[in-house]
Amino acid sequence: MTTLERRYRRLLRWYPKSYRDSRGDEIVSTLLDLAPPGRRRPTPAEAADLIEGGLRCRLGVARVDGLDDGLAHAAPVALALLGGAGAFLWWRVEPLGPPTLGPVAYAAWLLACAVALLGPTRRLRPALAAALAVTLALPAVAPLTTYARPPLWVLMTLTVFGLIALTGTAPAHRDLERRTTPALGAVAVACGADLVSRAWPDPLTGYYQPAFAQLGMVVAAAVGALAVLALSAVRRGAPPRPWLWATLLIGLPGAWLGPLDTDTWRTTDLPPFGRLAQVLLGTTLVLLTMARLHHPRSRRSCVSGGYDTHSSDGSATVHARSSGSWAAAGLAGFGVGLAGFVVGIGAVTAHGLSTVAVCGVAAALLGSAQAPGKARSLRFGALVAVGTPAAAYAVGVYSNDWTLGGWTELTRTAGLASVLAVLPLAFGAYTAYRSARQVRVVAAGVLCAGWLGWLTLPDLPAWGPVLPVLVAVPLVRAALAIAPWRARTGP
Amino acid sequence: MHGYGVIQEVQALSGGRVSLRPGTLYGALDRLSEQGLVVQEGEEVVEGRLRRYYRLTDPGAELLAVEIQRMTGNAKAAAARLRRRAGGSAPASA
Repeated sequence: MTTLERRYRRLLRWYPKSYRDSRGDEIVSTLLDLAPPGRRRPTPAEAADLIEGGLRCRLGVARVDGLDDGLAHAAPVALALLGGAGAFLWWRVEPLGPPTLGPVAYAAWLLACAVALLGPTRRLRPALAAALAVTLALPAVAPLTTYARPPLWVLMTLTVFGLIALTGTAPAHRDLERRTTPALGAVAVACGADLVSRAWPDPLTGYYQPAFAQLGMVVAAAVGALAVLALSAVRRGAPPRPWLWATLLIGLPGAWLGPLDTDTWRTTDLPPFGRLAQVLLGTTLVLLTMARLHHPRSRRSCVSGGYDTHSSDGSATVHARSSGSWAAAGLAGFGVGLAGFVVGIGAVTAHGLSTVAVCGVAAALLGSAQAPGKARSLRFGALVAVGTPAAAYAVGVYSNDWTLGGWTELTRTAGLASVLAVLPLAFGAYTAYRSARQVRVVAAGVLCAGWLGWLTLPDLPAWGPVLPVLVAVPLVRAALAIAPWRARTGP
Repeated sequence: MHGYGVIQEVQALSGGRVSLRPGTLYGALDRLSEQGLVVQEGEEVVEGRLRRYYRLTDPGAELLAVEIQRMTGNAKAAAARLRRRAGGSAPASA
């Protein structure tokens, strides 16, 4: 094996093993056929192509009906939001506090918008990749300079929008509409955010309240517009799935923007509905809707082996039953882990104990309705039991101003850790909804959904921009219910 | 035709403007295969390198014909517009 072949095979590890087994030799042979004599290492373009192909394969982009086209619809919207958000933050927010390295990333995304408008097609993807790399590098680079990094919420949102823009942009010729959409959209987003901030009752004070809620309003408007396009696709008789996927893809980081401050009306010792709760709730709801929208295109996508998915009624039932045992294991594991954490930090509150009890009872109800637990789901439960205190500790570090110990607000930390229950409770409620054929399963679903509501609904007014995002989710589901769509037959 | 052949053919057809990369090509072949538009037809090992051959199926050829018709229609319409413009602007420039 030559050095070049070994390097190609190393890059091929970005693909799943099952895919490498069936296609690896063929791809490497083609790469070697294409390589001029004397080449010893892959070119950056070849490496980028294989990494992207591998990631798309692992993420199932090729095997999910409508996701590929959905990414293509979402990409210009994501780039418009990146350019507009960058301009707004640089222009209106950055001057309000100590300077950060944020403008470096904002400039990179604005440059990518300019390349989309004026540059050659072959330069757009490298420009997007470079802007993404700059954004990801900021947290590591900032400590080496005298500047701070922008808040993580900014970097997280920019990163996910950037991934959508990069993976949804094809290296193909673009017409005038495709060229102008991101740039004009970015101007609209920046002006929209500026208008919202001027109409807002509280003045801008910096990166936090109310800047992200204001930006979130504009992103929520984009999500709402995409949801409307999904509905209009149904009316036109066109496949709605690509627009539904685009709605959810933009909605995922969209749900992270906000919320309003609840300190003024929350008087208990529980933490207010904060960014953690919002990120968890928004992410969970969007991901569950994605799971509902997920429709495997066929069993042979990303070519055979390891990617077979259920399709018949019988196997769907088996799938639902196995989901039940996984949900039960997850809930039980979370309950054990949370109990360990609150006892460990010496902050045993009624709120924390109630959450542990709800998870335990729901796990027992779901577990008793399933076949005896399989080793894999039990291992999953054990993993969750170990992972929960680790995640709760990370939340504690975050909520105690990034300190590793010597925490003073223990009750608040325990309350925030309890918010992590959003994940297993939503999984439990969703699983029960999908397989509600027994009273015990229904009871488990009601319990999970009820406690989820108790954790989040009292702070409904604080949801801010996330509310339109969450409204778009059932809208999307409604569109899907109107027109269940078969897989496309065209190319 | 095998993957390497497809890449060369695309490059020749586009006058060197489009050069497919293997990751993109095999992703497209996966999609076309599962939609029944192309089918794998044999494989061989040449100088230690695996080559799989692909063939356009009848539904694939039909779809290609439809696409060619659509693109030809678009090109004809554009050419007609261009002729009208040339016809209209000729007297003005004369």
